[in-house]
Amino acid sequence: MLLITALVMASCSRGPVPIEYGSDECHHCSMVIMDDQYAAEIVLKTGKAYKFDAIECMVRYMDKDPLVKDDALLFLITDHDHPGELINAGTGYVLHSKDLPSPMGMFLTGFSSEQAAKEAQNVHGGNMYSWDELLASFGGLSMEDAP
Amino acid sequence: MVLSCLLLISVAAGADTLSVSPDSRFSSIQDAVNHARSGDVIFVQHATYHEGNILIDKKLNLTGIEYPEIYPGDTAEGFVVIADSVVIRGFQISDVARSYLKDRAGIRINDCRHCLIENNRLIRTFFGIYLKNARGCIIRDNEIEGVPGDEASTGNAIHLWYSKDITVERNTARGHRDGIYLEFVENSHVENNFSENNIRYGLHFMFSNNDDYRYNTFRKNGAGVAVMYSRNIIMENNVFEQNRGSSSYGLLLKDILDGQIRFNHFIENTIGIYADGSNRILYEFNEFRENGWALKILGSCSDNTITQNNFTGNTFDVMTNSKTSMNTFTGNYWSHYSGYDLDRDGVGDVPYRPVRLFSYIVGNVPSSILLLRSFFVELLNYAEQITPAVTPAFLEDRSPRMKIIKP
Repeated sequence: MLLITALVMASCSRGPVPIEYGSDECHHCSMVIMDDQYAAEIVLKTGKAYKFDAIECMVRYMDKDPLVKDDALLFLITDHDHPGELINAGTGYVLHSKDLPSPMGMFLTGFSSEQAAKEAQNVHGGNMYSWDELLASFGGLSMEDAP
Repeated sequence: MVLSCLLLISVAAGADTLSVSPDSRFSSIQDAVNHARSGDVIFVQHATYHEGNILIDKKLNLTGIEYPEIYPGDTAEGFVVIADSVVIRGFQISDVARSYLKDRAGIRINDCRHCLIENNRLIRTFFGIYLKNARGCIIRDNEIEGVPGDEASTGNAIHLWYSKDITVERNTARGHRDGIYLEFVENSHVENNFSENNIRYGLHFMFSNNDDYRYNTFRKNGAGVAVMYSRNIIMENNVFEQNRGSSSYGLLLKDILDGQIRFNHFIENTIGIYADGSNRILYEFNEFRENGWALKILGSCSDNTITQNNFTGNTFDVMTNSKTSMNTFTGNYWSHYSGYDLDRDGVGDVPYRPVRLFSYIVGNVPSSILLLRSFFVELLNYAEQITPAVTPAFLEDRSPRMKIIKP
């Protein structure tokens, strides 16, 4: 009985949905998600999750389907220093650096804090963005000339 | 002076030959490379060499005799080439470990031209052969074998990045993420390769234009080939077979323009071709045999021409999510066609509509596939054929062939 209750509770909980690397497909580009350092996810208020293989796919999808913002509960990105770990995009930082190629060609890598992103920037160079800054300037980022 | 004592034979004026073996003057490959001059030939005798990050920084020909075995260790790559016109031939490189920080490879080519990588064996390497910013290189006759079933933790067997004028031919790629991967690669040729049991794709184009692939076989990969965000890709005479996951494709087309798909064989795949956002593509003389769906062509595709293909024994021939069709189907052979040819000109007198109602239902409720051969479903399909309500009335082949087309 307790088990059943627990199962029901678990199935109703709304939070990050684990990504099955090697079998889940990106909601935007249909590629199988392989790289556990770059995945991203939108969790809807219904508990359903859209999974993405890269930050750029999530941002492009948000652009294609602007209404998703109203339905979304969480926007998640992967912390590059902790592969497989999804963190809240809003509190994370993103590095745009030619040194770190992300799966969909935009060179965007997520970090859990400004400090962590700065440390990576010191090693790899490039420009650093908070989540809101990234959304604001994404259209101007070039695929060919990452800093 | 030191060098001249070590000459075995002189190949040509100015080019010396060095030999590496455990009990000779050069017991390590790197040592021989450091002592060689540009243009020299280094023969590496068969033995086990525990060395990694072997840096080739001048024009050299490295030839292994009877596959010398190189083990780079837990933190290193095999060969790293940073000079033009280098030849690496006949080596066996094993056990390059995965890294989160770096794409380690068995053979890495960085920023150079005219390399020839042939007849090597790469076993359990994270990435097999990795080209970055290379031009005019040839990668041929290599055997690359990854760790089977090792999910996401393996890289690509042959990985080309920001490269031009590359030829990839007669290689075998197994057990990797993608068999052959091209990102930002132009004017390159992929021919006669065999790609099998790779976790994601047998061959994968990303942001790559004006390339072609011909006479390759893609078998039992997560999906056969993915062509994405690319233009002018020519795809001819390939075999796509037994790519059978729950949503597995022989060929996945995503946001591409101006390609040609001709003379290919799509056999026993869950979906033969899945096309999304793909425009101005010619599908001609292909064989679609015994696939779940031969062709899924989404509403985002337009100006495609599908002509003179053979569709035989597929569960469903064509599936689309759109009520209109902006693509041309004409002159194909469909084994499900039951029309007649009274004037005996080889062309059916009534159009064939390849989209069946039941394939819509399966699209929405996958488990309904259980009912596939039931009487009720046959009845539904028949009713829909007579008065199309759900399926696109305009998606039809007005001149279906009565006999299999011989290309």
